[in-house]
Amino acid sequence: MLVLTRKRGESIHIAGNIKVTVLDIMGDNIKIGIEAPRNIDIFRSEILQAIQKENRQAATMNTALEDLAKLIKPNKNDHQT
Amino acid sequence: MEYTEINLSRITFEQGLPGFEQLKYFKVARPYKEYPFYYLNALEAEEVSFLVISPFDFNKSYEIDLPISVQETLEIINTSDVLVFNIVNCLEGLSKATVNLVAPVVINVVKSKGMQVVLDESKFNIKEPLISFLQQSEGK
Repeated sequence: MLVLTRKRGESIHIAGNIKVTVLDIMGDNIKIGIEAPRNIDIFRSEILQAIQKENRQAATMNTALEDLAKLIKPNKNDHQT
Repeated sequence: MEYTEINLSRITFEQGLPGFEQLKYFKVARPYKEYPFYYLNALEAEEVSFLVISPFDFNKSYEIDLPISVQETLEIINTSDVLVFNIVNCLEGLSKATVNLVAPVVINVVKSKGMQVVLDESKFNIKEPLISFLQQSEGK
């Protein structure tokens, strides 16, 4: 990992089209501003980790679709009434 | 929608799926014609198989706004070329199954390209109870 020390208001440029700015520092909280092309996805690491965990759990189960079908069947009947 | 007319047997996921970044090719199968449940199967790893639902089959209020980055990556021109699936997590049994609404799998059927999209986590639940989500189709 490349480590750079920056002060409040200072920035880092990445690959010429991404700019990361330290906007504010309040104790343990750092406010970061990111300017990037709109085709660059930016999200918090926690959400990506949560999705990875969900996917790993979901992939390990081979659910019996018959059981799931039972869940939905009453709904279909309800529609007709 | 006529799923039989489109080829979902080899969809390229250039970035893989989170947690399975190494897997690039998936297929979508609908095992029962009468029930709108699907499998998303990795072609490179048979054991990786997701149970997925098409949310709009059930829940008319689920609405997603595809970011420009997704539209560009998947080369989406018409929204009618797009299929959306949500992954079901049945780890704790079917009665406690949840569906991931934050990260739908979006597929451009014309280009056979797909990706799992990360939406605004403040708007959607990553563990939405499946049963209540399915039952919202009744218009409650």
